[in-house]
Amino acid sequence: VSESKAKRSRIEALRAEQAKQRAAAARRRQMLMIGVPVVVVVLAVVVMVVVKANQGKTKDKGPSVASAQTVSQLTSLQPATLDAAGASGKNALIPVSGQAPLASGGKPEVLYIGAEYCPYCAAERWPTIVALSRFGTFSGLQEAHSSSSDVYASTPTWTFRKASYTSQYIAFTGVETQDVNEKPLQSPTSEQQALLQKLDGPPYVQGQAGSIPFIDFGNQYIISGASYDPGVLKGLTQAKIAADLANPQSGVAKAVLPVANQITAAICKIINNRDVTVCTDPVITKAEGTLGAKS
Amino acid sequence: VPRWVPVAGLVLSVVGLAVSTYLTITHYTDPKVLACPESSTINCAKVTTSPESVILGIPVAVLGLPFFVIMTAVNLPQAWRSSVDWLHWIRLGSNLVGIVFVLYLVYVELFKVDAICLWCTSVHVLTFLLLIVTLSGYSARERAAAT
Repeated sequence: VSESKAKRSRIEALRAEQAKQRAAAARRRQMLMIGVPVVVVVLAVVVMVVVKANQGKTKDKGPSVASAQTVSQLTSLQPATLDAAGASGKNALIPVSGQAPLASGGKPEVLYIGAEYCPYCAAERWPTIVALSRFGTFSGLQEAHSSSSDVYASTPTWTFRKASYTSQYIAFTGVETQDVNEKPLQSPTSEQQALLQKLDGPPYVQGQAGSIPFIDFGNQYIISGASYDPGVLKGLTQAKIAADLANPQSGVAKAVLPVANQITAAICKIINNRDVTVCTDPVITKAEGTLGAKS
Repeated sequence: VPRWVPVAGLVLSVVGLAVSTYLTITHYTDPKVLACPESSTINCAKVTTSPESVILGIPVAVLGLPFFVIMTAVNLPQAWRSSVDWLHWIRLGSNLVGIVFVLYLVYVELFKVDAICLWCTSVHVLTFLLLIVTLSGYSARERAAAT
């Protein structure tokens, strides 16, 4: 009897051992079934991140010398071409109230704050240059592109970093805070920074205060952000854009010139429509009447 | 299967469906309105407006919708309890296809577009968590079948 009892307990122990082994094998299978795919996915992502981190960022090229012909085309557009484009569409300018006039050297001042990497700044420089060129002369403009790793990558444009502007009516200050690789370039003065914080935010501009581009027209009007779709400039060269601006039927002219006319109207306003031919242009006088209206 | 499996699967699928719906709506309205911080690394608009955001004419944002609709359906408790085999294979198969697609999209963000979209990343993480839930459920079913 005791022998059969011992045999039975040996069998039970064997069965328990087998059940334990089966359970362990099932657990191993379960771990493999869940663990292997999870580890593979995590490893794949980690490898990609590590490779990317070691690649580093390719640097964009900085500004280059501008073609004199392109600058000339851009800054001497015929009034008839600008008139043909009109000033309708999205109202780019926001009226500002209760501020002391912004002036420099006894003349009303236009202050631009932007950055070379910024695609919206890239777009906004075109109508700004066109409009300011109706009141004075730019020198030192350089050809540039917005960042290749931002939205609207490598939008063709200009930079104000070495530009100077002369006019008997108005002063212009251009501040490019960062280069195309987002490295610090020019610092706004504390007064300019204060204007950026004060005017480039609520109640004038919705959203985060201080976004660029910011253009202040004598503390009477401002522009915040791009006034047209930078995508219209995609893949074009500065020379092609300048040539297209001379054709009011081109897509580029239809996007850029109405904004340039609105800016022109704002400048006429801040110089109190002094005796400048451009300010008597019917398209500009009409645009002055609608400046800042809801579009 | 353990009770947490269908619950977790359903919650993750519904959240994924909500995010995909948001991404699809912004794709067809204005991608720039995506609530997303912007830096040199993180840029939702750059990702969602890149040429790579459309595959075979279909926006990637839109592709997420049917995936999460299917995942929501197959993660209902009734579906987990169902004895219909193909339902469980669809859950596992869809999830595996989804995670491979996620790896492709991570590759595209890092090496083609050079920017990360936080909303897209949240969809990627949800898909990964769904894979863990699905595999856990699948494994539990296998174990139950074996005993």
